[in-house]
Amino acid sequence: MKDARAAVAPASVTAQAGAPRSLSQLFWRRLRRNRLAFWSLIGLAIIHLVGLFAPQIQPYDPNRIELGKKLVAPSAEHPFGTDENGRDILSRVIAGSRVSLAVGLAAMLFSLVIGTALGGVAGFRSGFLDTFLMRTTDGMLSIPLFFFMLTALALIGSTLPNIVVVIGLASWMSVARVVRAEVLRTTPMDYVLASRAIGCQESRVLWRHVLPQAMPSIIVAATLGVATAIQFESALSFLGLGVQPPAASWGNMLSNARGYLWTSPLLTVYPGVMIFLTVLLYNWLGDGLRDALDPTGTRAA
Amino acid sequence: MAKYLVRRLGQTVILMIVVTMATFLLMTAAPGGPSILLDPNMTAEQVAQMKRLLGLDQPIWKQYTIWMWRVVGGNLGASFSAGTPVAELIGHHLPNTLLLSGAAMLLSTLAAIPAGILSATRRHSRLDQVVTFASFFGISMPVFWYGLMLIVLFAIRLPWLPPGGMRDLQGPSGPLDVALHLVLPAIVLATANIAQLARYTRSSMISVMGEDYIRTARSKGVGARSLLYRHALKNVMIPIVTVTGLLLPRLVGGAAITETVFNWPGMGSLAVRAAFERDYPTIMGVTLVISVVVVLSNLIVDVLYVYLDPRIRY
Repeated sequence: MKDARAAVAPASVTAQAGAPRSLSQLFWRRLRRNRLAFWSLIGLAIIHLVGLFAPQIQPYDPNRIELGKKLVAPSAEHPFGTDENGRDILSRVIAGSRVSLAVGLAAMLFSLVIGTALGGVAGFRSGFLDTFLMRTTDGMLSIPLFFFMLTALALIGSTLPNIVVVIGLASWMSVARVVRAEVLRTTPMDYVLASRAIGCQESRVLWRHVLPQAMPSIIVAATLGVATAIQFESALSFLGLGVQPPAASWGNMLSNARGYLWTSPLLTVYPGVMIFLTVLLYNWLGDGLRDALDPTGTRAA
Repeated sequence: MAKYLVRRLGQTVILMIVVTMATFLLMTAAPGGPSILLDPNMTAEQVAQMKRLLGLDQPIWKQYTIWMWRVVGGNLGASFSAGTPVAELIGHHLPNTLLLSGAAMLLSTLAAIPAGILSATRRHSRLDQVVTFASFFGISMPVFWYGLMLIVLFAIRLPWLPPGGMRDLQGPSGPLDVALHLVLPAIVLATANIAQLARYTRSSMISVMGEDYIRTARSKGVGARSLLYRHALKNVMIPIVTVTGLLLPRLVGGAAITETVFNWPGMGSLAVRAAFERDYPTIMGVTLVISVVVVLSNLIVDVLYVYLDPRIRY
C-alpha cells in the first residue's frame, strides 16, 4: 500500500509519459495503482450488487418461520444455519444487506446535502453567518451525539425515514468543515474574481465555480460517511432502535443473536462480519480516494 | 485567561440551553405521552389530575421555563417512573459511566501514543504496516459485535472473565471484582479510540520530525533518543491533546452501546429506558448532565494547552 503510494508520480511527470490526459484519467490510474483501494472498490461493488438483487439471490424467504428447524447448524440446505425462529440466516444476511446499505447511503446523502450547504454558505459569506454556523458545528461536535440519537429514535419511533434523518443530522459536521475550508481556499482565486467581474450571480459563482473545487474532498468525506452511517445504523438496531423486526438488518440480526451467545455463538458471526467488512472496505476506499484525488499528487502519508 | 474562561463558560451555557430546548421540544412533540399516563386502570379524570400534578397541562414553553428554573436552583425533578429524584438516579449511574470511559481513555492513550510514535519513527517498516493495518481494523470494527465476540471468547469459551454486569452477586465483591468486570468493556470501548489516536499520533509525529528545528538539532549532534523525547515529543503532544478532546464526546457516546452489551449499569442504559418510558425529567436530566460533563472535560483539555504550548495565550 505504502509502496503504491510512493510510486505515484507528480502530475507533470505522468503527463510527459503520455497516457493520462484528463484529471479523471489520472484519477483512475492512481486508484488502480493503489491496490488496496482498488480491491475495496471491487469488493464493495459485489456487496452492493448482492444488496440490489437480494430478492433474486436469497435462497429462501428471509422472513419465513419454520419452528421445526430452530437453530439448525450450517448444512448444505442452510449454508449459514437457521436462527431462533427457523429462518434461513444466509437469506437474512442477504436481505439485511439491502436495508443496511440503503440506510447507510441515504443517511450519507442527507448529511452531505446539509454539510455542503452549510459549509459552502459559511465559507462563502464569512462574517456573522460564518461564525454562527461554525459555532453550531463546534457545539454539535462537543456533545455526545449518540445519546441524542438513541433518545430521539426512542421518542419519535424507528421508521426507516426517521433513522436516516437522525443519522444524517448527527453526521454533517465533518462535511461542513471540509467544504468550508475548500471554499475559503478557492474564493480568493483569480478565476473566481474573473467570474464575478463578468457579472455572474453570487449563487452561480458558488455552485458553478467554487464548489466544484471542493468535489474531491466531498467525495472522500462521502465515502467515509457511508462507513460511519452503517456503523450508526447497526449500533442503533442493536439497541432495538434501528430497523424493526421482522425485517432483517445486520444490526437487528446481531441483536437477536445476542440471546443465543451461549448455545449458538455462530449466529453473531455472519451479520457481524458483514458490517465489519463493508465498513472496512469503505474506509480503505476513502483513504485511497484521498490519495488519488489529491491534486498535487505528492501528499505525505 | 480569566476572560477566556468566562467566554468559554458563557458558550457552554448557551450550548446547554439550545441542547435542552431541542430535547424538550422533541420529547413533548413525540407521539405517545409518558408511560405512567397510559395505565388502563386510570379513569380519564385521574389521568387529567395526574397531568395537573406533574405540570403537563401547562403550555410547553412554560413547562420548559419551570424545568430550567428548577435546574438553576439545583433540582432536576423526580423521575415519573421510579418516583425517586433524578439527581439520585444519575448519582447511581454517572460514576459507572465515568469509570468505564475513564478506564477506556487511559487505555487508549497508553496504547495509542507509543504505537503511533514507534510507527512514525520506523516509517514503512513491518511494525508501521502492522500499526496502520490494525488501526483500520479498529476503526471499522462495530463496537457491539466486537464486544459479543470477546464475551464468547473470554467469558464463554475460556471462562476467565465475567461476561457482563459490574459486580459478582455471590462471590467476593470489592475493587478487584469491579476491575475484573471492567476489563472487557474498557477494551471494547478503547479500541476504536486507540485506532484513531494512533493514526493522528503517527501523522503528527511525521510532520514534526520534518521541521527545521529538528534538523538543526540533529545537525548539532543531538542523539536519536534525546531528539525524539526532548525535542519532538513536546510538540507532538499538542495535536494529540486536541484530538483527545475531540474523541471524548464519541467515547462517552460509544459507552452507551458498550454498556448495553455488557449490562454495565451506566448512563446509556438509563437514557434508553427513560426515552422508551417517556420519563421526561429523567430524559432531560441525563441529556443535561452527560453534555455538561463532556463539554467541561473539553474545556479542561483546552486549558491544558496553555501548559503544553507556551505560545498560546488566552
